[in-house]
Amino acid sequence: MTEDLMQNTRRAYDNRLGFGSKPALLLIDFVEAYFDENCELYADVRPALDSALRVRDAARSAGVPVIYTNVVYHSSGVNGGRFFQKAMPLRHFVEGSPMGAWAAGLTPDPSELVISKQYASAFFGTSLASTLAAQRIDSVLLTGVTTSGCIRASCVDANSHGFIPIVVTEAVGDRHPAPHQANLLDMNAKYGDVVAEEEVLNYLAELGGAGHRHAAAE
Amino acid sequence: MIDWKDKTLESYKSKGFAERSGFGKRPGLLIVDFINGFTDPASPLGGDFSAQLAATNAVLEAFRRDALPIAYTVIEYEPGFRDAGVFIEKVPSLAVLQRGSPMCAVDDRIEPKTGEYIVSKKYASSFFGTNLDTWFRNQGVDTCVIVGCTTSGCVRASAVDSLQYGYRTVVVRDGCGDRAEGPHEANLFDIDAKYGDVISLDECLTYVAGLRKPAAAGT
Repeated sequence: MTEDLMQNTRRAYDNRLGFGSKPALLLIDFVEAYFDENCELYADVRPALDSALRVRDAARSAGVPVIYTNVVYHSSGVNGGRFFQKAMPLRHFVEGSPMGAWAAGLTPDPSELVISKQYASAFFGTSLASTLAAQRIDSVLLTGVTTSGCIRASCVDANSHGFIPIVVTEAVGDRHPAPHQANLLDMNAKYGDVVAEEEVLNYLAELGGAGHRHAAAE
Repeated sequence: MIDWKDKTLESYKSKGFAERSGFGKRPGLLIVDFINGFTDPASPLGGDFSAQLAATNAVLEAFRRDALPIAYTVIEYEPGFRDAGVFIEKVPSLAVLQRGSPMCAVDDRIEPKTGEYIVSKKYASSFFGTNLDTWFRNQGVDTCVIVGCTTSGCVRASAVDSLQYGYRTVVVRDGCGDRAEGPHEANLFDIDAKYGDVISLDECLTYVAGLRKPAAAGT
């Protein structure tokens, strides 16, 4: 290796997509398992949830659709396939497990969509892509857990499906800092923009303002 | 960058990650994006993957000996790049991969043979928008053995989708390359923790050779 990582990464990849004009907010897998210290999936991600809730408030004010995912398996685990075999803690997500309940403070509004998935990507085997397309959504704001797991997989699939992925830095979390950082670097290099919460809040405020002006003009 | 690995792995293992998903009975080989655009160091997307190509040849030889399914992916876009979506906005260097350019061809050092399948894709995952899943499944493949580049890009994305489509997923460390060691190791770590087994070239060759024994004993 003669070239240093950042130098090489900049040479191949240093580009920003920018925000879209019609985003949706995704809150990925903010469930009890990641917040209960006795659970193997525990990840100390309260600050990420707090950040995501601030973004959610801004999204709701701006009229931006809010969508949640969770992971739910049949009691036998059979619909978890190889993933269920490879990652043992997924047994906490069999139907009815208290570990699969929403984290404290996160209650979806009945008007907001919940998508149950079985794999890492929020798009794999779900109706998410068509739901977004039907609403002419062009970008997804990604929050949730974990950065190296479901956030990464959903970011890649969002890009593949034609949506601009925006990862909200403070609103995603992981069990360990190294995979967290490594995956933020990869996502920002190749698939989407990794953007600070403050910038996302400003964007949503502008979007809300524009929407209200538009509504007033009508 | 690398010293975090042992500690994190220990923690992951204690929590029930990084289990072995193991090998199945019929592997298919997936060679991801060893095309000139990535293997020619003069390309803006390129790196030097000579060692990884040599390892790939060893795996190829083992698969060919038993006529096991072999697929190569290439990336190629139409003129105008309307089939490149958001990906090319994010990674403008992908513009070297216009259909018909030598940059889109599989590297001569691992030249595909008749009967081996070339999958043309547009995005990171080898499964996204392609018929690779059907092609493998029609041949009874239950285990997807992956080599290629880059580890942090198309190999990672393909490994995640391989698992999601129901294959046992095996990534051969010596056959995977990246532009820098940090992302290479970080992504092998994630794959091994959650999606598939990361193994050495020797382990892979032993596995493929081991598949022949029961057949030989039965005849």
